[in-house]
Amino acid sequence: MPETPPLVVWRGNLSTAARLRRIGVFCVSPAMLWLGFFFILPLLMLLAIAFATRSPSGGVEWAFSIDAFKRLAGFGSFGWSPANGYILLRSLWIASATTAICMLLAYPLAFFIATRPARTRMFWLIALTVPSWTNLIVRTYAWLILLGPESVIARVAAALGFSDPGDALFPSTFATLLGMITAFLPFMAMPLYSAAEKLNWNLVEAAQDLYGGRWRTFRHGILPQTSSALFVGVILTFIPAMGMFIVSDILGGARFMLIGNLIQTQFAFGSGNPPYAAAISLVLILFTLLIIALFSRFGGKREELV
Amino acid sequence: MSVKVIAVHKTYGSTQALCNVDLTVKPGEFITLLGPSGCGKTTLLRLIAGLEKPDSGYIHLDGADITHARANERPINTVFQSYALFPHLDVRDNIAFGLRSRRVPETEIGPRVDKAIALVRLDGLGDRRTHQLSGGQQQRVALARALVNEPRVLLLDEPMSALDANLRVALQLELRALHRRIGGTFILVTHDQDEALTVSDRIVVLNKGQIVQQGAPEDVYKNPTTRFVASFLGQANFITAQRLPDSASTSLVSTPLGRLRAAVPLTEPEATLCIRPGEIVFPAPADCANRVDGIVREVIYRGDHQEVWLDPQGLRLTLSGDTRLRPGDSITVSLPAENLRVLYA
Repeated sequence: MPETPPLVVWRGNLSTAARLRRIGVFCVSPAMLWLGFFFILPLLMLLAIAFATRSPSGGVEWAFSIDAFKRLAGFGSFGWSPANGYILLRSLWIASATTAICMLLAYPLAFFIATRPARTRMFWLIALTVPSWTNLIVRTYAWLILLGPESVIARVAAALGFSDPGDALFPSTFATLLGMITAFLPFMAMPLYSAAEKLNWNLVEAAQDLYGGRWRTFRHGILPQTSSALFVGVILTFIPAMGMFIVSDILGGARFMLIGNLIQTQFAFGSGNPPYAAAISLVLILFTLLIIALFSRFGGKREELV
Repeated sequence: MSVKVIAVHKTYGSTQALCNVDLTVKPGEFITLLGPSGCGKTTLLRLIAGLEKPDSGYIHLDGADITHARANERPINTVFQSYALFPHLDVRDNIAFGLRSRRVPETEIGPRVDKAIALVRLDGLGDRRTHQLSGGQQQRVALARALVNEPRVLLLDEPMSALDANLRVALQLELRALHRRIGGTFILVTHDQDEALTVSDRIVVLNKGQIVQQGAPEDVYKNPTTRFVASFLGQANFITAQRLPDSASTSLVSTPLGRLRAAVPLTEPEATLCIRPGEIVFPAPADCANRVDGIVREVIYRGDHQEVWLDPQGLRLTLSGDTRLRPGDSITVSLPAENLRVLYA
């Protein structure tokens, strides 16, 4: 006599575990196919290209080589150079500074919006998000006008002695940072806003009642309640900031190269070097994962601290 | 340790939360702010804690003006209604929070936290996270977290409201014993009349942003000065009464129940007589005054006593023992004159 599989109840009907598993697989398969075709497969292709050779015409030749990684490590036709190291460090500090400044700006902004009356809150939320509906390139070009030699900002900067009269405020690190911060602020502020809106103010009052100063009240009354939102905001800001090339290209000038710009130029058809670009992309992915892992461990540990 | 609230006003938008409130709390006193929700009792507590600022008026602590001192500058601690324990800290660190804020040396914090844990009988639970505790245990952590700072004044904002009835009564008795043991000034906010009667030295009844009556629990219960206090603290029958034109000096009044003798002569043409259900006498003794005839409408069994509703006056009385009354029975009860309090508001 064949053994009957054990029955399980699902939504009021009898079923078997195997049947439920089949339904589950069916339901997630579109998402899995999507991820497979548009994430896993390209990633594998990137890996394959990184270990291939550049063809003389700037394409890919399927011959195994680690030249791309050698060049990435700084060993070029003219001996070793630290240029790539500088580019990576510069990208890291620009992304970190963008994330940190966004954090400092987003906290007060999120709490300001969350504590407005319901009607005006909608206005502030729209004011925060509408600019990001415009294409990033358009928004970045807008800074060229706002920071141009005749602009109010440039005149004020010149009057205060930060720049020479008649000079534009770009290309510069300042302009790049400004462009990056304005591009990413909504991604940091929105998660923090949703946490601020749900905040249990009793804990803030308890910290104040127990003699907590400003920092201690923030550290124990607000930070633990917003730490997961902060983590989301950091991921949404830091990862794209690490790969950013549009803003630095337009506002940073030719000498101000970030890792994103390097990848972009090396992927250019004909003049580029696809295996090299693929190798940089892989290293960027690994580096970003490492930083996020470090940050989340740090964030997790801070929770335990007193 | 004495708290003085002087002529305090507080409005939120267009609603007046507190209107010209004066209150003096003596050192070592345990007082209860009692009233229905929205009466301003929690606002008054938050003003004393420093979590709100009054629109006008002053708050003094031991004669010093603390009206504009921030919450973290006041030697006052609060047990919040929701406890507001820090979920990311364990029980010990929650209790030590105030001491660490004030940079008390760690060598001193340890013993003080141990003492506080023992005081509220949470021994062995110091390493637990707060969400691993029951409601009653969380309440004790909140209490220990406040008491460990040795506050000059302890504020308790409806600390029992989230607990079930049995636990609430046990903790009320514990709170009272704790106050007797450690002294200090306690101010408790509640809307639960039993809690107010159980724990406090003095009850302050609030309604619509004003203090309507205050005094020892027994005083307020026995001699309510308004209909509101009489009905909020305990239960009461109210009878409208008119002064008889020829009897300005006697206490004889005309009521829908007939002529009755009140406790004192009326000073105004109209008043309300108030009598507690337990003060009505049945069966009425022969040849006594203030006899009222009625028909039993309903008899409700309440375990140790019965509640009887009379028609047509709607009088309610409580009787102990088995009275064998049935709906429809005609009975005569007596309303002793000394219990017919005269209220004008």
